[in-house]
Amino acid sequence: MRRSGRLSGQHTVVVTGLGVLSPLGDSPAELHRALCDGTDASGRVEGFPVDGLPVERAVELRGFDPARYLGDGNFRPLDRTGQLAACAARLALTDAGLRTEEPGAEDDAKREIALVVGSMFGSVRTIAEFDRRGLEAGPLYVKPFDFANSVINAAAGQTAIWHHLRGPNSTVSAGTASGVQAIGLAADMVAEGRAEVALAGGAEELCFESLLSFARAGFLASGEGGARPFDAKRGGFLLGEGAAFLVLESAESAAARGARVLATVLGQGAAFDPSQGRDGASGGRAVARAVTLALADAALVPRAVSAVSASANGHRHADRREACGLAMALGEHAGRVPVTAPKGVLGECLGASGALQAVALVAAMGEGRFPGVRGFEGAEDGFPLAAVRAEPARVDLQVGLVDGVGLDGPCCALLLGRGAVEARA
Amino acid sequence: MSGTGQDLVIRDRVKRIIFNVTRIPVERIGDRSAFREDLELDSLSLLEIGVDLDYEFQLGLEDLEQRLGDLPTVDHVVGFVQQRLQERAIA
Amino acid sequence: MTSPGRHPERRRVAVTGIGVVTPVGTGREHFWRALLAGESGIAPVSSFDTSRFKVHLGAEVRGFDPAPWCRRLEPESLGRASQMAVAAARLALADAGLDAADPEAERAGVAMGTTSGEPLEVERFDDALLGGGRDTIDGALATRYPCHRIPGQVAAELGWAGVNVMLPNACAAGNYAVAFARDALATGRAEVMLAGGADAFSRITYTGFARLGAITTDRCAPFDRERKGMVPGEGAGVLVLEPLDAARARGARVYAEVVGYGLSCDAHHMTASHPEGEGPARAMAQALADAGLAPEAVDYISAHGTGTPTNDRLETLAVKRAFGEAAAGVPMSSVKSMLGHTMGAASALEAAVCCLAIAEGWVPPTMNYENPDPDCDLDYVPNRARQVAVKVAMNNAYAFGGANASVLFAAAEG
Repeated sequence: MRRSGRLSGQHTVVVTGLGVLSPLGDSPAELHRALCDGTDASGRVEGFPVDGLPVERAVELRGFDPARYLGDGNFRPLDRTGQLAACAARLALTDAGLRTEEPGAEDDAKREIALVVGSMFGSVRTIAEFDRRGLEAGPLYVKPFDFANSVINAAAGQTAIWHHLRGPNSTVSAGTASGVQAIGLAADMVAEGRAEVALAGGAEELCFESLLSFARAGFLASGEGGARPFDAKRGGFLLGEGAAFLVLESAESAAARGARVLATVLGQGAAFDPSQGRDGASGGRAVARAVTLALADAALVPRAVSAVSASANGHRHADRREACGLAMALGEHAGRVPVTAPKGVLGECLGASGALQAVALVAAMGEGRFPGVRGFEGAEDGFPLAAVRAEPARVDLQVGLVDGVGLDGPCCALLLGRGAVEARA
Repeated sequence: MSGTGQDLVIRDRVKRIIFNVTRIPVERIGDRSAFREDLELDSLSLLEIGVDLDYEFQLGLEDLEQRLGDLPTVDHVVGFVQQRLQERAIA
Repeated sequence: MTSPGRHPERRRVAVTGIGVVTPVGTGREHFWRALLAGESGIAPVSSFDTSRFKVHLGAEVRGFDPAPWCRRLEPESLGRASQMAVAAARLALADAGLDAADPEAERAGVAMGTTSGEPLEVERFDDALLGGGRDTIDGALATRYPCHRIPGQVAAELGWAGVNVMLPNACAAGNYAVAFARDALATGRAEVMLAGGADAFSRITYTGFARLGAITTDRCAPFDRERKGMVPGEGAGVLVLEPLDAARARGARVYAEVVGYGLSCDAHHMTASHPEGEGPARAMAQALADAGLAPEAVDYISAHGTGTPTNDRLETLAVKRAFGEAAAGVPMSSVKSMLGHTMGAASALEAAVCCLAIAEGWVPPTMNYENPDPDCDLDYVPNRARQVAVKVAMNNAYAFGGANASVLFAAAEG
């Protein structure tokens, strides 16, 4: 199998670690199990008052204690989004066998590890609370910590400080496609030799501000069935929260330190729907283009794709646009390829979604079992993906496609190969 | 409340604020520990503590940053808060 | 000179258009003339009441009307930062002699940067929450506020379907956008890219900087011994980037070539720079290595130069670290002395300055410079623009969270 055909990549980019923090567990194995089981982790939100809100349910991370992952240090200057990111980053670094506690000679911090964080809002809660304190108490009483965390790249800054990540540091916002784009950008950094190692992923917290706004925008599922991606009865999505990171590394760096290689980044593609989600045909074409570009980047044909991790979250129109786009790009193969939609379990985690999808996909590679779509009973007429099921399937997952489809335009696609994929001479 | 009693309450509230910002356990915040040198607090943390103190005790400080510079330990802060509360009670 | 970058087969990338909406004026010509004349866009804040603050200066874009620039989209449907971004994008395309329909839509993309996105939407949400109650709140925070809408609205206005990304890296964001766009073109993922940054003035941003004590009470005087701080501002800057060979083939005017960039992170503190300028120095060194240039080749540096006591001292230190003895001979000015700190737009506007310096052979001044500072002893082009043959210009930007970005531009030769 050929590696990336792009001009840019000198280095093969491999995945040597995974870190995930979600209501479904804080290990890739736990997450994979929950996705295969179709676990329902949604419930009435407990972290903030929801009485009277149009939607009270979400997939919430309860009992999150940063100390469990970050130890004794002071994480008070970090807000919830920053804490989620820093904790998931720690899990990923540990999983990859990288130590960055002390920026000393023996420590991996000397590698100047890069960090790319997908985020939709930064923390809209932090910026809103900062503002409300100023309105209620006057500008002298706003909280300095909150201001530092009100910039959208705060989590990336805090995570870098916490783990001594001194390489290129970037935040990426592409709506619900942020995480996929973030992984693509980090892969480019490693491929080009700007970084030997890069943490790539995303983080997003659940908060009153986002829950109310998404509900008022009419995006959220309010019925009993929750979110049902691709299903004919779907009526919106549930919000989730969490963080996930992949450790991307050059194949040479991984080999030199004897790191275990979980997957290889084969290709990526990105496109935009200029109708910003208003025209279904335009939206489908954008999805198709992102996927087609990724396949070309990886020098792969559609039937090489073993399975798809879709971005679908239960949104009436976005799910269909994605399905049509996948069908356009994968042709006949779209009727056969197993498709999962993890947001049926995880909820829509916005900036973290793409990273959660990617971590779950790599976790599935080692397992042989590929999750189905929670709650799926049947799609509407003309639905082009015939192999969507609720139940997990046995899949020899050699090549996985991860889709990130924004509600209002951005589309990103990522292809991952199992284990170390050799470059052909 | 007696002067000592009030002192203790203020001292406790001040230390709780410092704990909230720094996660340094209250028992380890000495009355005479210097914020910068002993507790190793940076300027952002000190500013956060200052805003919380001002908000908690409604000190109404116009020039918080300058004041903080003159209050290097818990003892200093407690003394200042007491003095300030007295001034406002009289006013 | 050639700039092979990392891989000789990568396409060289040129800047062919500049569009700006700034506190000193809209449009490239007006902007450049104002900067060379030392004009200031700094004035008492007008868009909200600063009477409860001890500081009152801001760099606002006054009288901005988005209507002339929005031909497809309704201006009211856009947040302010998006409006300015759309305007700057249209101006940039016109400046490049390109119609939006000229490039193949699927190969035309947008990369933008910002610090806060559309903070006025947060203010609206909070005003409603604290004022009329929750029932009045609509879904705008979920639809209008997210910062990826900024490049999205630009692409929607132009009908472009290529890669579209927001890189919200605060005060360095514009540089990240230029770097991203350059890579997209160099690797053949796009044929045309718009790259820039935008931010809107807001009480949120102003209150935050005021609380940190970062805002000056009198003037913005970068590198001056008596400097007291920065001035928050707003604006948008957009560059048109395309492959150099394609630009030449269509007879476009080439301002400059993007020849390299470097990124690093202090990993030290959220709002304070590393005390030895180590991170910024690494970003500069990486940019030079990326371009295959020695420090001595740089003819002008557009500084981050916010005017705070700490930044300017540490930035000077960093430049000396990266340039060694060559530092003393490189003119380095801060246009923030005139524009204020336009946040996510800043390094995009400063990239425009670098391109114009190369194209026109003039460098803008650092205004308000009166008192030399022994800790800041480089050549800051004090108070008067200077004619300088600029073949290579470096654009430096440093963000909250410790992210550092340096981008190198060069006269396109060979």
